[in-house]
Amino acid sequence: MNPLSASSRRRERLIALALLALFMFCPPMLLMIDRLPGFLGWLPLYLFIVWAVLIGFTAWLVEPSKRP
Amino acid sequence: MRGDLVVIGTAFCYLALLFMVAAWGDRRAEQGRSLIGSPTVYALSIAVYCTAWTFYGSVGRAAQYGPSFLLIYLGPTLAMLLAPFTLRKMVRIAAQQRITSIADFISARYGKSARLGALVALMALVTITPYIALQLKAITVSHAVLMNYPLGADTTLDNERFWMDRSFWIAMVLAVFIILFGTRHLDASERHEGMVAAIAVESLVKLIAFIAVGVFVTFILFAGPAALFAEVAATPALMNSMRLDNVPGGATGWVGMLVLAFLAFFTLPRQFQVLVVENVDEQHLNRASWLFPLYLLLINLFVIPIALAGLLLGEGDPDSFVLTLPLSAGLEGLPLLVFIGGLSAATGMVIVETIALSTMVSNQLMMPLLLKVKGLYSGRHGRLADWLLNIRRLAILLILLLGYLYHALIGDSYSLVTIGLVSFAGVAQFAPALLIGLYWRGATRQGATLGLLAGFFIWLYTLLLPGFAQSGWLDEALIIQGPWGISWLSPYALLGLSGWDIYTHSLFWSMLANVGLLVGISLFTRPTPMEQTQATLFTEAMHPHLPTTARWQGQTSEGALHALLVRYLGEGATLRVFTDPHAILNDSEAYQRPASSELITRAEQALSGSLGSASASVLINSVLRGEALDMESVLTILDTTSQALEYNRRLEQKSQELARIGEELRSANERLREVDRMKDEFVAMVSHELRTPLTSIRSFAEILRDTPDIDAEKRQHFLGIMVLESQRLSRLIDEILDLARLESGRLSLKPVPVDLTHVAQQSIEALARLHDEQGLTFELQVEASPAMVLADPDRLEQVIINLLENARKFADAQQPNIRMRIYAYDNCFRLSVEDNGSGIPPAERENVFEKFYQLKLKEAPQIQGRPKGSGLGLPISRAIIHHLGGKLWAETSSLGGTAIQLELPRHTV
Repeated sequence: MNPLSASSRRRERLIALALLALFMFCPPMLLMIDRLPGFLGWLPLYLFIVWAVLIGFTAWLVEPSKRP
Repeated sequence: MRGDLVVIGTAFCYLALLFMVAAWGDRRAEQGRSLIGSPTVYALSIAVYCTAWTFYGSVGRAAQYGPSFLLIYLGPTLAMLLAPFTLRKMVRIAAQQRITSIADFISARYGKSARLGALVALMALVTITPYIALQLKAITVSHAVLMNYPLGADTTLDNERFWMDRSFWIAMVLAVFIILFGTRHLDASERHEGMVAAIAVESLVKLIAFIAVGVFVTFILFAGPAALFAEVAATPALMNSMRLDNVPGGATGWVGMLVLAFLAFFTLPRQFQVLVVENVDEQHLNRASWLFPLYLLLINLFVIPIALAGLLLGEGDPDSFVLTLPLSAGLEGLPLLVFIGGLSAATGMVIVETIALSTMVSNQLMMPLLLKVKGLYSGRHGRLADWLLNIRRLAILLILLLGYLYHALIGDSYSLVTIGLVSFAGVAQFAPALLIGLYWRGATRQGATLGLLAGFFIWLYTLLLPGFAQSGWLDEALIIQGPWGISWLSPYALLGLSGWDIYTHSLFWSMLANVGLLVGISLFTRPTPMEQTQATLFTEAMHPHLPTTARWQGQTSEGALHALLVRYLGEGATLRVFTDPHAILNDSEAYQRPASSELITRAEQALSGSLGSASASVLINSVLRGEALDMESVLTILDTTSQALEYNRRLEQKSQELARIGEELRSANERLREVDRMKDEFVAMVSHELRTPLTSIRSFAEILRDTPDIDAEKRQHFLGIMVLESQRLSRLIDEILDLARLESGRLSLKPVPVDLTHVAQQSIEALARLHDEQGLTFELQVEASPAMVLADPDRLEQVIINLLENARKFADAQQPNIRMRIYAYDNCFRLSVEDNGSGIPPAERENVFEKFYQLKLKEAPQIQGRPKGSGLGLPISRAIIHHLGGKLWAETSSLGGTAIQLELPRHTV
């Protein structure tokens, strides 16, 4: 892959990740998680986990790889 | 231990430390060894987003409204994900145009409009003042809680004279502090490296302080999160505290808040300052796009445990849980650390926000006014750099006083979070002009101005005014019944839209008006040439060949430019613009020399970096003679550049295409030459083939003519040969005609359903006598009968006979053996004719289907004794089978010789 298409592929992946994040943080998903049974509700735990995974993915996408 | 002296002493020590960090950062920057050239420092400086509102208010909001506090941080997380598309572009534009603030950015985008810049600066002042007030309140309240615990904190905010009020003195100390390190010099780049370094340190301090409280509450006050949650589970009142039902406005409120935080992250003046203006390298955005969200996640990790613990233990005001929980445990050191953390959060925000606002006030509000004063730039005054610095210093003082006033008069009736969100909704009004202007070239100044005004007034009416009413400054009936009792004008339910939380409601209406007017008006107004140029420079900022110079067509002398720069920027900055300013001063000829357009551009950029783009434009115009600006030509250059690029790309495409076509032509030519050569050969061979029987016929005819008395038997023999040879001749001519017709496509075949086996048997019978004569062993294996195919029976028979004849000719001379097999294969029938001859080498297999190929074989000395044939049989057979939709090819036979395979599609009725 030439460098140009590699960077455009990275941009596409970031956009896809942003759309996924939007989906995960918005009502249809949110309402489903909120309605799960449990004494305190699972919403905060869900949000923190999705958030952490999102950060991990972003770091993986934007940081230059260590390969020579 | 918790004496006032200790607390205030620690706070001052902390501020002194910050000041030292800032001074060190500035010194390093002057030495060219920047402290902030690291993406991590950049990410930490962005964390100025987390103010006292985060530090104290998040817990308060979590206690009251459940998980909705997280939205304030999820919005920026989304925004940072999109950093390569939005922020990177903004950073590049800001670097190209030396942008100094968000007001400058918007003003520059819409044709360096001074009025628009002033409008944005004013709006920022109005929306941010409450936010600064909030920080002052947070410092005051946290100090009071620290001092008065376990008594309430209310006693401090009294209505005594202002000099008795601690907040006033906090504001003044901060003002002095900011003046000291925010306005040290009026630099061309308007960067504050020392400040950024200090902010990064503050971000670390507040994070450490908050996590320390979190760990203490979760693991020491309670025996770990499990124990804490078990206790919460036993308290029915807290059962639903972390559910969506607890979020104001439910799902709608959730989305509204997410959008609000997303937009405000771009438009808060302090965020713009650290994200865009203070950015030293756009590559830093990569690291920041995950490190900053990680910072947000970490600082929020313990918010819920602290909030739940505070609610369980009933520790008074939720906004102060962070302080009261360690205090209730009787600790001394931790509360002090928390206080310093909160102080960090608050001072960090106030420092950056005030510097950003003071830059706007001096560049967007004061400078255009000063330039309007006649004669100010005509040369009679001394240099204005000191003036500007003083304006900025005064602005810092005024902004903090304004913040204090707001805090003293109104701030008491609001919780921290409420004030913060009102400000968020206010600055979010900049988002359409900023973000749409970044991508849509058609957005015009009128559209942006009207959109901003409309959005701002709706925000004022639906959020700020009701806030005043709640503070008792206005009649509260305004909120409930609407003004003059008109219910559909009620600020919290405009046009009857009720049931939403107040922020989503305000955001919806203001954005509707803002975006609607921006787009609508833009579609019906014509931008000025200056606007068009700037719009192109902004929207095409990522274009690799964007021209940045050659903007100025007017004429001026280097001396006039030099004088202008010295007057406004001082000698130091002028030195950086002119490569050799001394030559100008000493040499009157150089003084008169016309300035190059690059030099004019550099001068304008330097002025922009200090005074804002609108004022810089006015100043440069003041020394230019004649045609000052020719924006049309700049536009033409831009358009030509992009056209040329597009043209280039197309040309490249075309030349690639041409190369490909050339290659195709070359191979076609090669094929044609080959065909031509073959045709010549063909003609030669045909002539040769025709001549052999003809010669034989002629010689026998001559014998018969010249020898009248030849005996009858011999004559009969000669005549027999002549008949045979003429038969062979006519067969040859038939074949050549067949081939010609087949190749030109004129041969008419009449395909009808026939049984392949039946045709094969007919052909075998026709040759049976020949086979018997030669003593040939013939095997027939019929594995499919009937094998119905669509074919012309005569032609098919011709093909099969030809195959059998070839097999007979090429079979082993001593023990000739031929096998014919008819079988079904997939959706076809196959007929194979195999012999036990010497076979064809694999490389030659396709060649036997060439015309007269066997003649060529004859020329090869190693293959001897081939029986003669016309050499047209197989090419004709293949052409016929192709016409019938089948295939004909050669393989190696299991008998040792060649197997010719014939395949025809199965005919189904």
